[in-house]
Amino acid sequence: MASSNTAANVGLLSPPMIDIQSFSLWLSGLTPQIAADRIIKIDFGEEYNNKDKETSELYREETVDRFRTYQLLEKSLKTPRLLSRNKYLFSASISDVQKRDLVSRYYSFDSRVFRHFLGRKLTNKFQKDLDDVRDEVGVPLRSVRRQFDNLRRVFDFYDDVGDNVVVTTQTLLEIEYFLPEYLSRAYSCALFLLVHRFQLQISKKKYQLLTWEDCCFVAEHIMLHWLQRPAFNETKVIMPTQNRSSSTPMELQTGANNNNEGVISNNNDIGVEPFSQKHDPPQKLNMDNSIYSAPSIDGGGANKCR
Amino acid sequence: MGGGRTNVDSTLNYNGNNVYIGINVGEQDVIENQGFVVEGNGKANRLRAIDDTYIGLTDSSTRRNLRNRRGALDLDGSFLSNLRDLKNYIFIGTNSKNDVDVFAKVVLYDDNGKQYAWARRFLPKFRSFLKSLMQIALGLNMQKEFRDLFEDLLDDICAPLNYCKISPNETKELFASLLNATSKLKSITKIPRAGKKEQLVKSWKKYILVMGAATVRCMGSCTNS
Repeated sequence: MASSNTAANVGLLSPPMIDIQSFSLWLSGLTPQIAADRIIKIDFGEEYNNKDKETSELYREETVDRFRTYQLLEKSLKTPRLLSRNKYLFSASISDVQKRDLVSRYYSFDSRVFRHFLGRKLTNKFQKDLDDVRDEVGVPLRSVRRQFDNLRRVFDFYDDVGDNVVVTTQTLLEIEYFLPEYLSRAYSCALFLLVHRFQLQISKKKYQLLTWEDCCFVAEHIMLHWLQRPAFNETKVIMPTQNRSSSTPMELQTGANNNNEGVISNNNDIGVEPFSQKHDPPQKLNMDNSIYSAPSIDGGGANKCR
Repeated sequence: MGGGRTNVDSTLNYNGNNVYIGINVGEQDVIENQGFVVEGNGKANRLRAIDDTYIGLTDSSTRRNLRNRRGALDLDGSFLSNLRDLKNYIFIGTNSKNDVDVFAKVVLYDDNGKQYAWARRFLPKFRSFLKSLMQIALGLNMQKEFRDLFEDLLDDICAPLNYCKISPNETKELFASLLNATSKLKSITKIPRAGKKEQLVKSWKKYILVMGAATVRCMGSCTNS
């Protein structure tokens, strides 16, 4: 009896590993080589110079493998509603909290990059000019593209349904994109500035000194007080904005004696009837630009991973 | 519910959170279906959310303000209308210089009749400053003007203040004074129509509150001083 030999290729696939450190580096738009080098620096610390070639190669291969995993997940991260249906991710048994964390990291942004998007139409033509943003801000092009695509996706979504939706803009983004409160508020402000097409082109000299935080601050105030329908939820959120000596929340004082009794802290104090949402003035401002980014490996935001 | 149209603003519990629901009730009943809005005419206007639940949508044909093309992000119509009306009460006659002088007295002096420390420095620019402030308020009605809000803010509000060397703290004082100025104006206190005065004062305060905060924030970013 003749025996037959059958050859088969067998592929073994382990559940994907989501490592926040490498995920942050991937979001930063770094190449696997540079990212691996960063990880070695962190892992080895002062002994960085003593590492051998084999170790470097192992780190690089591992990083390449992880980056490949993240690319497989990217489609689901762009449309978070697909996240729960992603079988590949499902096999990793990632909790909802972790999924939300991944999405919020994916939608995090660098305020300097977002500043360049204000006052511009998010068109394909602009997409081709993102190299200029990279050159001016110094953020890798892949990261700039991700931030641009994220903003355009949110903008297009709002453009489609935001006109008619009955929940607040903030809630809409939280439901559709799994965004945490601070990000959904920041994206709401960006939407407001883009939808009304405010003249804010950073290429114009007069707007160059206006930061994203300035624009966001003004937008948030307008959205709190001038809109016909509330744009934010009632919950009080610390709005991350850049600190400035003159940028503390406006404490208007009545009378010349400057006593604190006259400090206006909310609408009730100025005799405006209570709105259907709480109209808190923007909160104490924080200096860290990276606050829009999820914490990265070195404790800062993704924008620090350069 | 027959005939007529009623605006209903209510809060529904959605995923454990209270969400704002504004419904324009048409000729037929509003039916709440599993916590989401199914609106008049039996037509379901809704959006599938991330967890396969639905978010209610308003029927665009029944929206309160048809001029509104930006939905949730458009400005309040009554607020804009009040700002338009305010102009007539601040600049009453043809000789608007006198009216500005009246307004200046209210703004530049405190309740005890004492002039603010910065008032003398700012007096030469006050007239143009107030005009710009009103111009911006009127411009909010027009999309084209509204788009230039930041430019106007920097050029017409921040620049004169920087020119007169008004510090951020003094700016806060100025806007605090502006905030209460309209309620002290005789032309406004004498308004006979019930509720109108309160509406005007409320809109003015909303306007000044935002402009004041924006000015203090952006003063440092003004290059044209």
